[in-house]
Amino acid sequence: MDKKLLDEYLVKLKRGDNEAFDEIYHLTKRGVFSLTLSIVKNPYAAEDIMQDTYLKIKEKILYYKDGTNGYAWILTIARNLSLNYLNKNKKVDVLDTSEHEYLMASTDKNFVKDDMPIFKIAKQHLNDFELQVVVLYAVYGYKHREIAELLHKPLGSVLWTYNNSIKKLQKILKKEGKDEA
Amino acid sequence: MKRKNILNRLKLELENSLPDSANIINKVKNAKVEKDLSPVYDAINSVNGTMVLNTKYNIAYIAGLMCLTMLLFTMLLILLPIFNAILYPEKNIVTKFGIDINPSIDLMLDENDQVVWALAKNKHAELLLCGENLEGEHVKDATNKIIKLAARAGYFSTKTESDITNAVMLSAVSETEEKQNFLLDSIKSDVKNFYMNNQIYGVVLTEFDSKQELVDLVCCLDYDLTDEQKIALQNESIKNLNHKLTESYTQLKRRFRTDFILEEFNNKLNPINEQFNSETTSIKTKLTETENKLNNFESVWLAEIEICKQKIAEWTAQIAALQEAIKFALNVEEVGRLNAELEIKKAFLTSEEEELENREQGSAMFNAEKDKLINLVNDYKNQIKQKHQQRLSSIENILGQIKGPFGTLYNKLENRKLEILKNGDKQFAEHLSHLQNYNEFYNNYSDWLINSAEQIPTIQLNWNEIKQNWEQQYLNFVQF
Repeated sequence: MDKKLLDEYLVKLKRGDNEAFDEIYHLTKRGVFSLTLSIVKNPYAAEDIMQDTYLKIKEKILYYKDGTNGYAWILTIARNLSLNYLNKNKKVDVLDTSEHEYLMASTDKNFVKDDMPIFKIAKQHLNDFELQVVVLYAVYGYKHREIAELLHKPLGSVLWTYNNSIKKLQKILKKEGKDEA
Repeated sequence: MKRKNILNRLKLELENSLPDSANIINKVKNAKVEKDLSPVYDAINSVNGTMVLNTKYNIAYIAGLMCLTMLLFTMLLILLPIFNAILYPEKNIVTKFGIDINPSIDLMLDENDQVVWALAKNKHAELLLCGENLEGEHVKDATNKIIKLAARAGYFSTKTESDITNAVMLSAVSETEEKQNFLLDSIKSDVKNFYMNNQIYGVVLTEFDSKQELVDLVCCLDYDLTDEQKIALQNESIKNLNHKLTESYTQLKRRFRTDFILEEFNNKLNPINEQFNSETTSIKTKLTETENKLNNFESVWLAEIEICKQKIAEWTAQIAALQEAIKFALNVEEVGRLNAELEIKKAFLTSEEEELENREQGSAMFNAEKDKLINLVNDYKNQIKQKHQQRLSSIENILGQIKGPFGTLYNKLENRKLEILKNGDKQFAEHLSHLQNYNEFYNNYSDWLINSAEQIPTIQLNWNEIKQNWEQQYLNFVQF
């Protein structure tokens, strides 16, 4: 993860170079997705939020200050949009079931794709904060300190939560016989 | 499962579930996204210090808004007079109601006795009504408000029971006298109630029955007022008239004391005396000298005859001596000088002898000289007498000035007393009921008048004493 490179691309985008967007996307897509997924816990919704995040980046690119932490800025946008989504869906608990299947899937908090067993277990047994820490660390390769800053939590809490979450997952996987190693 | 494995598998799962990059990139790239230019505007504003129109509000929107506002404003302008005419029909002023505390206010009333407008007639009133809107209020409410404001502003004193400066003067000019009187009566009683509730001692006067009486009373008590000043009193406010009345009353009470009267008399007398003395001093001196001459005229006349005789004897002796000297003269020159000297002495002798003859034999000259002196003495005496007469007439004038008003006042007191005594209780009751119309103010003065009337004998005694003093002084001058 090259922060300087991302900063350069963000500056280019700010100056009107639309091609820089591709690079920005490729550099940040994992982080954005894993963060949104860890919050909304629904891959379809995460995909929508991801798209909204990049649209928002284009819209608000002039707010980006050159030479600052571009990752943090993008992830903050993603996180805020995810939280907005959650808030919005709290208010729409009842939906017409005859709607499109995708819509149902995207709004179902418990929906998880079949090819994501570990994530499914993690989602079932870890709380929101634990899941966010694990996903950000595992997928995006964030350091504990960076996770603490991003989630506005003390570093100690993040470390403790991470260790605790992994132990919890180990135990569950062992119990469920999915421990192949 | 090891930690690393769990993380790797989770990473793999999430990697696999990543959405299609091309799809998102295309969607985002192709989407028309308006850049938020706020930072640019902020930067421009911070550099130039000027406001930049936010393009969010486009020109058409603003122009439309302005047009709509103008349209509404125009409609409002057109409709306002119509609404105004409906809601607030034009009111006719039928009554002018005046309240004079010292702040003087005129309330213009419509036929329902509601204030159409309130006119502040002096600075006090302007200050009092500052921020107050009396329009549309009933005259009673408006008056009540004005009185309360005046009380709050300190125009009413609560010091003593006899504080006559707490006066409210009401006046009304209306279509009919009945309405006029009705307004005055009702509001007068309101103000009286206000006085009672707030423990204010004072009077409520109405213009038509009181101001002239007040002016008359001031004129009666203050006899120093000139005619012009008396006329000017008509235009004074009630408060000022009350002040003048208080001053005159105090001054008059002082004047009942002998010492003050004499002091005043002497003050007025001194300049006349000084003038008299300065004018008569030189005449007096000449008179004295002339009288002395007249008294000594005969003795002086005889003495001068003796002197003539002595001088004749002296001249005769000198002539005889010269004649003897000529006989024994040594030369002609000496004889000539002695003869010349002899001639001169003879001339002196002849003159003295003629003088002696005239004095001894000429009574006409004696009488003429004497008459001349007598006339001079009489002339001087007449001059002094004339001056004295002038002085006396001045003194008479002063006495008249001081005595006149006292006489008037005594007559008034005496008449009032006689009236009350003569007609008894009925007259007294009428007197009191009449006075009640003028409230406490006239009550105070009627009390004073009655008390004063009862004290007339005492005053008369004092008066006699004063008169005796004056007469003594007068006699002193006359004797001179």
